[in-house]
Amino acid sequence: MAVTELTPGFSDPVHDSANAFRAILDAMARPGRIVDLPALPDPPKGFDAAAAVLALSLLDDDTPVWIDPGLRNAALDAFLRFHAGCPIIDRTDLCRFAFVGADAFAALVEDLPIGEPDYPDRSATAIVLCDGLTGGLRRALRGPGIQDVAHLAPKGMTEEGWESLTRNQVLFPLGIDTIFVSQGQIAALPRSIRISAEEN
Amino acid sequence: MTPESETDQQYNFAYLDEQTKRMIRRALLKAVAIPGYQVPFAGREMPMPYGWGTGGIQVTAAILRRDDTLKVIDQGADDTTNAVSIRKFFKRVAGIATTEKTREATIIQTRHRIPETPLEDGQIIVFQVPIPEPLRFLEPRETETRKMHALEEYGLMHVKLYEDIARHGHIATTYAYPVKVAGRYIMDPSPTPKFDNPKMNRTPALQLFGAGREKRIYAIPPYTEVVSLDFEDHPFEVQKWDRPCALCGATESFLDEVIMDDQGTRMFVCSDTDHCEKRRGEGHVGPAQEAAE
Amino acid sequence: MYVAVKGGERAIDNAHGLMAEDRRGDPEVAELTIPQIREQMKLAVDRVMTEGSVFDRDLAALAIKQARGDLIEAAFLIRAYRTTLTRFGASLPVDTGKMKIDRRISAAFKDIPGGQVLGPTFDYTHRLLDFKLAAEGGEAPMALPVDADGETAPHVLDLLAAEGLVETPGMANDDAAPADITREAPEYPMDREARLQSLARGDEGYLLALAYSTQRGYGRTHPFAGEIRLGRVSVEFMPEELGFPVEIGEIELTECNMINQFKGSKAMPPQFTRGYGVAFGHGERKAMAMALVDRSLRSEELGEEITAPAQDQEFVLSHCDNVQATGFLEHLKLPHYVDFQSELELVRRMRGEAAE
Repeated sequence: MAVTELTPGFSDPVHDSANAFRAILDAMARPGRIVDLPALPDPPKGFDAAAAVLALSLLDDDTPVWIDPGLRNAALDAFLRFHAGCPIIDRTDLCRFAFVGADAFAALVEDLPIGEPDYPDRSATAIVLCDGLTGGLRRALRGPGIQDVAHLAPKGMTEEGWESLTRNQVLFPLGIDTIFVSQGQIAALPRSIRISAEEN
Repeated sequence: MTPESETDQQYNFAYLDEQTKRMIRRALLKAVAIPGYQVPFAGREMPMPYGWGTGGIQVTAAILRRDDTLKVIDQGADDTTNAVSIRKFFKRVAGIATTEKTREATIIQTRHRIPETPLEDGQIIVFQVPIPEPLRFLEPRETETRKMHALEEYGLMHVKLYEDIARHGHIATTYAYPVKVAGRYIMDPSPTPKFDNPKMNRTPALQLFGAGREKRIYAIPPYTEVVSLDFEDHPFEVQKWDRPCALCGATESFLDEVIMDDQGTRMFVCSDTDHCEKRRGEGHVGPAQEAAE
Repeated sequence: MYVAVKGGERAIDNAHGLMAEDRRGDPEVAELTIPQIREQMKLAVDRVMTEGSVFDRDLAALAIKQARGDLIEAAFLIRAYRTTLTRFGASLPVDTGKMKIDRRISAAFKDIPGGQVLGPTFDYTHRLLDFKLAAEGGEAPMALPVDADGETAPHVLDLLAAEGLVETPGMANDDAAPADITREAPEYPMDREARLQSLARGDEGYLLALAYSTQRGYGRTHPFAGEIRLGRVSVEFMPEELGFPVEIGEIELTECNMINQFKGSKAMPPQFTRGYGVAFGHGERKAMAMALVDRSLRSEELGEEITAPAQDQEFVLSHCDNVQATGFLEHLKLPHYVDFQSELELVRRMRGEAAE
């Protein structure tokens, strides 16, 4: 493919990824909180800016990545391979990170590695690309990182998607961790969080 | 703020290379997602010895941003030699701002204490941990302790604490007192005195733990329930002193005992030097100051 | 008044100054040079390279000078330096069968193809202080020319393996990336590959003591020194983009293959088994001790009863690193007074209650 199709990575990789990571850590530590990621001027075509920043901050040759076929294209592959150097794999059960559209998420959850009883950390982190982090199906969240109750309503998340995450929570301490992304923002939902539909 | 010229340009920002930072960062995210669980990480050799806080230093290096303000304490004090040395290291390799004031810090790296000033949302406290496994002294084998955590088989720990009560009338653990995090994992709070355990419960700050030699990282997210293990008939309680801080008169802080002379005259002063100075700045006076005036 | 430690920064600077002065010693005496250490303290340099896990004689010599001859401290300096180096990848396995041999002995056979080559060894020296060495400026000694200098020779154990009398060495899975204990936290039970890495950088004294314990009956392995060889091997690296290996240098290694009696078990027929040891440079004691401990740690794999410390993986491997061990031991020098205060309070309270 032509070199011109390769979109740029971080302009200052050391500090950009440090700033991005702290935002990601903040999101993971405070589930449901919507956090801004530092902006990437020109993400790969059709890919979310926040998802691109997550990839540049967290991925490298130690992290096999699975990408939803609905998101995958040559420009994205080139971007990930060149800037992150991560292997892009076809098997969901071997990936450490999975990028998936909100519509395809429900079908994916149960195929991702959930860790082992002795090593629950050997599990995947799903990065779910949404149409917005508010305005979708709303759920109440309770658990570590949340003072009382938090709410999250990523646009594009289906009933089935939420149900699969509820089943994921029951597996705790096993399970996947989820980061919702949209337009430069993220909100995280670690496996430790109890999800309920009721509003209070 | 250290001028850019004093920063050591031979090493990457915050010393660690980017790949190592990413590895630690990924471990940190899993640690936060599974509160109290010890995530193995490929700890690196650092330019200070194992036992000097290499785990905490690696965690701090991996989370540090250029605009952070770092506070480093050892035994609660900013001016103990190891705290000075670690602070100097980060000034040199990251050129970040440092402070002795708990409120001004965005990151606090600590050995053996949690500051008396309550931590706030947005702050991160990084603990240096020597032995991360709370069950280690009951069962030396990692293969066994891992199984015990997986099966939530914590009876042995309760038996140990209860044996203390039977023998001494007290739980004889005064530091590194085990806690249960978010109702699941039993965790070693690092060798902080049990006096500090209640500060871990539902704090708005993020608590991160790094054990370099043992290659483990663990975490407690903000507002997470952290319960010190106890029994109905022997509830958990913290140390109390029968006198106030000699310098600032504080009655609620952890006091160090300082031997003053050959006759064994003793003085009790706050272990948290920032807390003590702040109180004195506000006009609080302890018995030693009163006597001097 | 208030006497607690203040001015930590100045105290540290002063200590560093004193140490530098102490390192230099009497300025009337000529300063040691790196080449002097490299050439005349070879075995110290080799040990620091092995335990520091970097093959670089000049760096190891520098570390020894900086550490004032404390070899564990020197290995630590090398390790701390090592972590800042970029990792390009793994070399191809070195072929010690193609070693250019400087020394090679077998205690199991009187003579072997390629011959017994004594090489530079203390083995048959009389340990009498040589006062001629106390005088400086003597003529440099010259060894007699030897026949086998730089020749290659087959591994002794391969000759036995061909007959099925000794197990064939386990082959690493070529497809899988080699284990790297510097990039993975240890996990037990640990594969032999990672165990050997841990032992290779493990403390010589510790391995010596453990190996000795097996000889004295704590997990006896009935060893014979099948072969010890010292020499130079070439290191090859295959860059992904080239697709063929290129030689990147030559290193000196000491390799030890122990032969251990084995009566057979459910897992294996009776045959001789192996223990393997290797060290950078000339490190026979280390390589031999490592080989005995390696064999002991194979007890579980071979279906032997585990009764002795040297057979216990977690015990042996989690304590063999002297940089870790020395750090944790010496950290007791750091202040622990808040924890001690907590204990004091408890003991006082319990004594008070006992007196009531």
